[in-house]
Amino acid sequence: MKQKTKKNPLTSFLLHLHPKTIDSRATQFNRTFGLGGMAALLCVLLFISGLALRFLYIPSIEGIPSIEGAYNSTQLIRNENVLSSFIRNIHYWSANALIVISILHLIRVFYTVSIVKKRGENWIYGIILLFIILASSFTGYLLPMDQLAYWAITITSNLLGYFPLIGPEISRFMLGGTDAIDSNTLLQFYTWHTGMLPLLLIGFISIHFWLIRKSKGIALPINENNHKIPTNPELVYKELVTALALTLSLVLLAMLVDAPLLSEANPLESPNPAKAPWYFMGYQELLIHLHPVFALIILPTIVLLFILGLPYLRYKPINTGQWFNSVKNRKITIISAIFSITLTFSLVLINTYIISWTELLPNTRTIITSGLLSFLMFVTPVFSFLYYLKKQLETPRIELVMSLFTIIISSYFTLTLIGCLLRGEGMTLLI
Amino acid sequence: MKEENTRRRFIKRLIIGLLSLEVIYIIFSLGKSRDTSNEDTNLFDAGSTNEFENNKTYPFHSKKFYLSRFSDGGLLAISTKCTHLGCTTNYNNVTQTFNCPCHSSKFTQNGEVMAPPATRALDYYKMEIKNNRVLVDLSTPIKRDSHSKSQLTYA
Repeated sequence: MKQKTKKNPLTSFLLHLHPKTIDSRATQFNRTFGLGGMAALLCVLLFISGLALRFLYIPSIEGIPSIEGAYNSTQLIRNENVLSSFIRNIHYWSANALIVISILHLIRVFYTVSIVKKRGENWIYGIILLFIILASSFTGYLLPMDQLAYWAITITSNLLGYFPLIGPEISRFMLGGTDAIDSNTLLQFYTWHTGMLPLLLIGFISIHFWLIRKSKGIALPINENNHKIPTNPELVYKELVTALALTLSLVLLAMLVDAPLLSEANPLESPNPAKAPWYFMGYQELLIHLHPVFALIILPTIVLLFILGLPYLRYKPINTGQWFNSVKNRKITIISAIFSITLTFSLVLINTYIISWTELLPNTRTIITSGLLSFLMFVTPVFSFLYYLKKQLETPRIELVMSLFTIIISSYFTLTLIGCLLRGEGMTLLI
Repeated sequence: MKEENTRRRFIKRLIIGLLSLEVIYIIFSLGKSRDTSNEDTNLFDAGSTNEFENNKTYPFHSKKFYLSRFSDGGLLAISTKCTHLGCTTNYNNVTQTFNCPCHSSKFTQNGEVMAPPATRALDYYKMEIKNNRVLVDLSTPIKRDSHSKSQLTYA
């Protein structure tokens, strides 16, 4: 039966995101938990609230951009009226939710082994998107120019200075071509946050969506007798309900909890303790234990190469769409997570209370002691663990890779928890 | 056919050659140390020498340095900027250490690293004593790996 209905061009365009019919298993909520769609919705909310904030945020005094102006403007947005502070809160909570959701999305995609062939390409774009999101969050919390912003910029620009040879130049570039934090720095971050990064985000999200269509929808285990159902309304309604629920919870959160604003930037005194936002706290905790060259260059390079290389390691057997690839591997994943959490936690305690490098090896350079030796203290047990898995249990490669990924993720998770909850004044451990 | 290929190859090589020249130029010009050293001195009068007792450390927060006087009477103006990632260290009178609130580095009273992640001792400022006045030159902090007696100034 052919029905001639006039369709709104906008609706038909939006429906192009999906095929006309879809495998019935793809609409089960607990297959993806709707995480990718939620992330996309949060980006939309961030664009809308961000554009509104652009009208309100005027980081200048009498037309001259300044750090003080940025702080005053943020204070005004926060205190002037209910609507402006509500928009700021929505922006803040959406940004935080976006980080949580993106990381969960990454974890879901990885553990359902949806990272080979066409999906492998999409994995790479997903990682790029994660970095754009983190960069947007970073440049975003710098704009209020409170104490958090000032010391985050100080720490990051000093950290970049540890790059060999070109370090000082990179750090100058980050500050907007000056040696100190001033209005140039502010304008640099403003341009990145409200121009460059959103543009990149739109571009990469488009590719990300397109590649899902190209790899024939979300990953599903192979099944002979699958039956197709119409996308509209079967999937679209579920998406709408999820979107509404998420938006309403964010609105509620934004009404009840204000986005934080510390006191005005003071170059003479760091806050005590000076803590980064929660998503960077794991990295800050890492910096406490590891020499900057290892924490900035060596470790991130290794982890990044591993994560970007994941789709290109040849795996067999592989069950795309099956959680943990096999039932047996679910156990290995849980054991790896427990191993990693225990190892990280004990190393933090050992490094704080037992080992004192300056007493143990007083005349050795710090790049050896708090760099190489600390690094080996983590890497050696991890590789022994993986070697044991390989020899004793004859674990196939895909499951070893999953184990290593689990170890990295759980270790960062542990560091984040320690940094957020167990560090008090002077960044000393509370236990 | 062959000729077209060689022309194409020539242009390709020309472009690659020019690009690499530019990259080399950029790397070299980045490597060149910019002359940022400030020639003029910026002397700050911290006070009279007999105001400072031995074995004590005095904060000059607004000028971003601590003035330490050691048991032998030697004076040292130590920068408050942590050498790890640039936060402001706090001096603890009880433990006589400089503590960083960002990554919990600790420094001894003379600025040497007591607990990592800091990689070198706190910077210090040049100082001269004229007519019993302590004059600290705040124009350039001096980097050092460790503490030595030669860095001290005596009244």
